[in-house]
Amino acid sequence: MLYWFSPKTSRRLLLLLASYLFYMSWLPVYGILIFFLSICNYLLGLAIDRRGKNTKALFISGLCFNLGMLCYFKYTNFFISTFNEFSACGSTLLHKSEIFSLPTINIILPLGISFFVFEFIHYLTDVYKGDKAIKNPIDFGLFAAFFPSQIAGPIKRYQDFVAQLGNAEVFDGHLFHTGLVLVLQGLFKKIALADNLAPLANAGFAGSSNLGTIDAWIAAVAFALQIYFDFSGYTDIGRGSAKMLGFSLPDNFNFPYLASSLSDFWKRWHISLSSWLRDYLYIPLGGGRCSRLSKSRNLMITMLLGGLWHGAAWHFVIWGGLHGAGLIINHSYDDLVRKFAFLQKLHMHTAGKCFSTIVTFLFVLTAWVFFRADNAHIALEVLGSMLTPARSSSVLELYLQSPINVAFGLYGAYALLFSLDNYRCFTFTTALRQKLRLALPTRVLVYASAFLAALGFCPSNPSPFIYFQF
Amino acid sequence: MSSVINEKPERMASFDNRPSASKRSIYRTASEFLLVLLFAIVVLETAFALAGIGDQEYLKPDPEAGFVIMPEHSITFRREGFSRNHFNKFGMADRQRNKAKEPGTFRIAVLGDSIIEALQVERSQSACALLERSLNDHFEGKRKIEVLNFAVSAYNIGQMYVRLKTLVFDFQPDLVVLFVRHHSTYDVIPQANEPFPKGARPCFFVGEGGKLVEDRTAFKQWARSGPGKRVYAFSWLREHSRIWGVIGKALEQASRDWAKMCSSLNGWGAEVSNKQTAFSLSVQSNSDGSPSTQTTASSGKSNLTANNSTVNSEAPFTKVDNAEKCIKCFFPIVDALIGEMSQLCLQHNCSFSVAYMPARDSAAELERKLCRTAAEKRSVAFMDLGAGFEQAKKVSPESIYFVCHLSKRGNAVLAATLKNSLLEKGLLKERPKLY
Repeated sequence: MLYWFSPKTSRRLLLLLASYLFYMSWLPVYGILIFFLSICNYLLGLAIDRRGKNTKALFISGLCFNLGMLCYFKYTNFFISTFNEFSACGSTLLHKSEIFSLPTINIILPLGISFFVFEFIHYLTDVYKGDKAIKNPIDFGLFAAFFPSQIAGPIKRYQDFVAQLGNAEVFDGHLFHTGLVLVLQGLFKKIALADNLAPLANAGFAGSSNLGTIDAWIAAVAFALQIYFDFSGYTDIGRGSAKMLGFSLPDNFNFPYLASSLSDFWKRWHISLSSWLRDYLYIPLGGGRCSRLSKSRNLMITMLLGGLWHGAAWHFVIWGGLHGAGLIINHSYDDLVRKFAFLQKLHMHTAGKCFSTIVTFLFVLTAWVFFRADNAHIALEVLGSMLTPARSSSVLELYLQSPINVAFGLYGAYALLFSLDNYRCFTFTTALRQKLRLALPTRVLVYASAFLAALGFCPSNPSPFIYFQF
Repeated sequence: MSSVINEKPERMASFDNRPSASKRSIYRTASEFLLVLLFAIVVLETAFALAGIGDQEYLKPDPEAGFVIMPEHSITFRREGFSRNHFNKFGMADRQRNKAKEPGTFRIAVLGDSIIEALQVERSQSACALLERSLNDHFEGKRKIEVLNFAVSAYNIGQMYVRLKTLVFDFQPDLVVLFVRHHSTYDVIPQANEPFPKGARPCFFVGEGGKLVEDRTAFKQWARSGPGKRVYAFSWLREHSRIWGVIGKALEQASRDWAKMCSSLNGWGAEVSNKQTAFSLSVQSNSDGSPSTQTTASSGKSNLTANNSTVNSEAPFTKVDNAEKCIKCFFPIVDALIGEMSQLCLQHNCSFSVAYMPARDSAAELERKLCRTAAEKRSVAFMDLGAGFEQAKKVSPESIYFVCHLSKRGNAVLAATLKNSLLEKGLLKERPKLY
C-alpha cells in the first residue's frame, strides 16, 4: 500500500530501501556487503560499457572479484577442511605422528550470496558482450537487492528487470491479484506441504542405519517432494510479491517430476539456474556443438560446478556428478533414438512416455538421496535400505500420523482453481473461474480460507527454507 | 488515484466480461458470498477433521474445579508424541465407564495431571490402561480390577481435591491414588494474570487452626476478565469448530512470538523460557527455615502473605535460592489438601494413597520428604516411584520422556512401578463394608 500510494518518482528508492531493510533484518553488517558488491559491479559495468570491446582485463577482473567473494564466503572452510583431511591421510600413509592442519575461519555465509553473485556475473558478461549497462545507480541497486528474489532467486536477467521498471508506475489489478494467489500458494506449499514432509525425510535420514524398505522409500520421496515444495513455495512467494509490486520474475519450476528425460528435468527444475549454467558456463565451455567427448566433458564440468554451487560439501559434488553422468547417458540415448525408428515409436506411445517419466523420477530420486544425506555413507545406507527388503516401522508410523495427504488434497483443489492457467491441460479451470465470476469480497473470502488452511496445516516446529543455505 | 490505478489494463481480459460492481445485484453478491462462506467452512472443517487439526481445545471452564475436560470430545495430540483420543461422557481421559460398579470389581481411581492423563500416547498405552491390564493379568481372572483415570492437564492438587469430591466418589472407588509430582507445590500458588486454563484455577489456603480454606475469587475474577468472557462467549465454537481451534492456536502462537520478541528486545529472552518466572517470587521463609504452618493469601492479587513470609510477584526471582523457600512456604497447603482427601476417602470407605512421581532432571528431595511426612503422619500409604524410574533408565537407553511428558516406554515404566508398589503395600485388599 505504501508503495502504490507513494509518489511515482520515489517508488524505486522506497523499494530499494525496503530491500536493504529486509536483508539487514537478518544481519545488518551484510547490508554493507551487498552495497559494496553493488557499487563495484555498477562501476565495472559502466567502465566495460564505455570502453567497448577492449575491456577483457576489466571483465576478467570483475569475474574474479565476484567469484572470489563467493569462494571466500562459501568455500574457504570447505577448502581448508578438505586440505586438512588430505593432510591427515598423508600423515597416516607416511606414518608421521604430526598432522599439519589449518584452522577453520569463522565465516557466516551471507544469505543469498550464490544468487546475487550469479546475477552480477550475468550482468558483467552481457555488458561485455555488448548490451547496455544500467546507468541509474538506483535501478542497478534495485536489480541487485530486489527483495522478492534476493535470498533464493529466481536468478533474474537484468534486461528483463530493467524493462519492467516502467511498469511499476501503474497499478495493475490483475497482476496484483495473480501475485496474491501466488503468495498464498507459496505459503501453503511451504508451511503445509514442505514442513509436514520435512519430519518424514529427517527421521529417515537421521536413522539411516536402521531403516525398513518402506521407511527408506518414504524418506527419499518425502525429501524429493519437500525440496520441490519448499523451493517452489519460496519462488511463488517471491514471484507473487514481485507481481504485487508490478514486476514479473522468471518462472523457476514447471512440474519437474513429470519430466520424461533428465535433460527435460533440467528444463523444468530451477529453470533460472539451469539456464544461467547453460548460458554462462556450458556454452562458453564449448556447449554441445563439438565432439561427443568434449560435449560430455562440458556437461560434466557444468553439473559438477552446479552441484558445488549448491553447497560446500562433497555430497553436493556427487549429486552434480550423478546428474552430469545422467545427462551424458541421456544425450547418447537421444542420439540412439534418432537412429532407430522403433525407439522413436516407443517413446511416442503413452506407455513409453510413462516409463520414461518413471525412470527419470527414479534417477532424480537417487540423486536427491546424495543431496540430502550428510555424507555418501548415509546416502548409500538409505539407498541400500530402499533395495533390501526389511520391516518398516518408525517413518511409516510418522507418515500415517502426518496430515500431509489431506494437505495435498487441499493444495490440488486450490491449484486447480487458481494457479494452473499456464498449463494447457488445466485451461478448463480458467473457463470455470470465468463462469463463476466471483465478486471481490468472495475472492477475499477464498484467499482468507486458503490462508487459514495453510495456518491450520502448519506444524508446530516449521523448518527454514532449504535454499537459504545456498 | 486515477493516475495510480489503471482501470482496465490489457491483462484484465479474463475479467472483462464480468459485470461491473454497480450493475451486479447486491443480493447476488451477498448470496454468492454466503454460499462460498458455507462451502469454505464445510471444506475446511472436513479437511481439518480428516487431518486431526484444530481440536486442541479440550478444556472448558467449570466454576467448581476451574476447568474440566469437555465430555465426548476427540483430540489429536501432536505437541509431544502422537495420539488420537476420545474423552468419555464424564470428561475423563478414559474409555466409557459406568458409575455403577459391577459386583466383585476393585476400582482404583487415579488423580493426577497431564503426566497421568497421558494424551501423548494412545489410550491403550497410557499408564492407567496398562496398569489395569497388568493387574487383571496378575490376578488371572480371580479378581476384576478397574483403573479409572481422573487426571486432567494442568490440574493442581487443589483441583484434584475438588474432582475427588465432585466426581470420583460417584464411581465408588476402593482405592484413590493421588499423584504428586515434582514442583506440584508451585502449582497450588494462585497465578494471577495467567491465561486459561491456569488463570481459572481455584485457590486453597490454610486458615485458622490449619483448616483448609477454599477461595474462588481467582476464578470469579478470571470469569469477569476479558479473556474469561471471551472463553465463555465462544464456548460453543471452542467445543465444536476446528476452524476456531486453528485461529485460536495461531493467535496464541502470535502472542507468544510477540512476547518473546518484546522480551528479547528487553534482554529478557533467556529468563522468559524459565517456567518458574511466570510467577516470580521473592519469599522470606520462617527464620528457622522450617515450613510455615499458616498461609493466607489474597488470591488474584500480586502480593501474597504466608505467615511471616512476603511474596511479591514483581520481585526478581532467584531460581535455586527461592525454590526451596517457596516449597517450604506453600507446602502446608498441599499438606492440608492431602489431609482433607484422606478424610474424605475414609468417609467413603475407600483407601487413599499418595504416589510421588520423580522429577526428570532434578532430585527435588525436599518435596519428596515433605510429601512422605504428610502421608505417613496420617497413616496414608506413600509410594515413591523414583526407584522404579531409576532402574528403568539403567536397563534401557530408550527415552522415558518425550519432552516433559512420558513416552510409551515411560507409561509402561510408570504402570509397572505402580503395580509393584500397590502389591507391595497391600493396597489392593478389599476393605470391609461399613454398611
